[in-house]
Amino acid sequence: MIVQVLPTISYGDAIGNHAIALKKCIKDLGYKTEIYAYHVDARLPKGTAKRVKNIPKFKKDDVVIYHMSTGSHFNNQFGNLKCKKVMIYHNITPPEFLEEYNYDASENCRTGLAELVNLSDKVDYCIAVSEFNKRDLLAAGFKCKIDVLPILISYSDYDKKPNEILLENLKDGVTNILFTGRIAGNKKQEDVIAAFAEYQKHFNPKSRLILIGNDGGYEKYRRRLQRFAKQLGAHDVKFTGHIKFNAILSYYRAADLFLCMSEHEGFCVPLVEAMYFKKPIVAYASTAIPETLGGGGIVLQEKNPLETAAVMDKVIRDENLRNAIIENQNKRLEDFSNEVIIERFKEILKENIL
Amino acid sequence: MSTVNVDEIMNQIRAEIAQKGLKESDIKFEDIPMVNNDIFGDVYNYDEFSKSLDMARPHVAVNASPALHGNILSKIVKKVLRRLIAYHIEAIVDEQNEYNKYTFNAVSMLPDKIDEYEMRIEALEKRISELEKKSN
Repeated sequence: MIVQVLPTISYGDAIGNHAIALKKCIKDLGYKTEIYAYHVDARLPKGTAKRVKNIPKFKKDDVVIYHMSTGSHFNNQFGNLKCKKVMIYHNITPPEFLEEYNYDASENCRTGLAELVNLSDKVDYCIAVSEFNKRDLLAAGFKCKIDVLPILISYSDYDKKPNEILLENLKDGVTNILFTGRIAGNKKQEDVIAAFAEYQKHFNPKSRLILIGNDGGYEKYRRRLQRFAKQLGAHDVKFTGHIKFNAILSYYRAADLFLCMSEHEGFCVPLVEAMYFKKPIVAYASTAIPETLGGGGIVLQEKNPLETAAVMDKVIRDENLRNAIIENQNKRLEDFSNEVIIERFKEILKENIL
Repeated sequence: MSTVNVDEIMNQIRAEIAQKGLKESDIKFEDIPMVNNDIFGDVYNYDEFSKSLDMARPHVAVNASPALHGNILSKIVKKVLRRLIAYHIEAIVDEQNEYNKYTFNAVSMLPDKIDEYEMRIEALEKRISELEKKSN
């Protein structure tokens, strides 16, 4: 039996989708498999996952694949299991990014990082979703074999029908700048807003900034961001909050540029989404971002709002530059195709787990 | 892959910014206070409302099995008792958690709506003021 365990499996969440795709993979190989989580989102189709309280007793030959991304009750329990233990590491947000806005979340991350170190000599094999995450595992003291396998992304979902009315409204001659990510301290939406404000003021008043992302737990941060945008004189800065998937599709389709100033990412699925929708990306070089972009996009080494704004303007106006960026992004996207990743996962399973 | 020379682009951009004399805003995110200092009336206080939501959040999910305290014997007894009534307690806790989750989600939406209404009120008041000036 091969089971996957997550603290939470949410509807539409990158880690959850990754686990569901891996489950299908394991099933296709003929193994009995299941996903267990402490919290199972009610919107997921019945049978997707079960609650951890129903987890069976494991035998020596069983395999538990644990998706680690936060502090959790299960982190220590996982280390004490008598079966084969595989950890997929998605990275844990450094607590200092969160403590100003959500002390409990920051403490949870602090605990998670301590639990990670505690697991370093208890896990049999690790999969990191990026080289950046692999380096973090090595720094935490992991001595077992660690392979890198990017997140599986459900591209077919992006071909679904967008919200047509919203899309029509967004195609109103106004330049759409987009960033997707939880409203949370590590995503640094303030730097996106600062760059956008300069762009709108000096280069293109007919522009809007769309920040897709749930602010759950970080309402204080979101309000501070809104006040910041107002003080800068930026208009048309939209915080979408939690929206339906077809609305997300509309925003991506209508976007003219994707701007990312995040300072901590273990992989950054929205970058791959922007690549899929062929939107040129301008991003700050931090953590796993340059690796995920892999030569695509424009990667900035410094955060300077006015210079970032000028880069945005150049990318939007210069067709040759924009096409070159998108061509590079298309090439990089091939490395994240489902076929490539599934094949690699099957190899990993056979070489290291089964 | 096509060559996109980022260094060259940045040099061009810096030269253009200098040539045009463009200046960046002085306002920094660190200048924006964490909390809105406006107090809205004696009874309702936005900060208290916001703080209360933050304090309530970690308690939304009730734990049916909190840590047991006491000596070894008392812990064993408590564990047995807990198992005997688990079927009853867990059902109640699950139901309570569902209620807590949806109630909290509903209440959490209020600050956004309040912000939205405040902005609309501000815009309307401005418009009224302009119209009043015009009619005078």
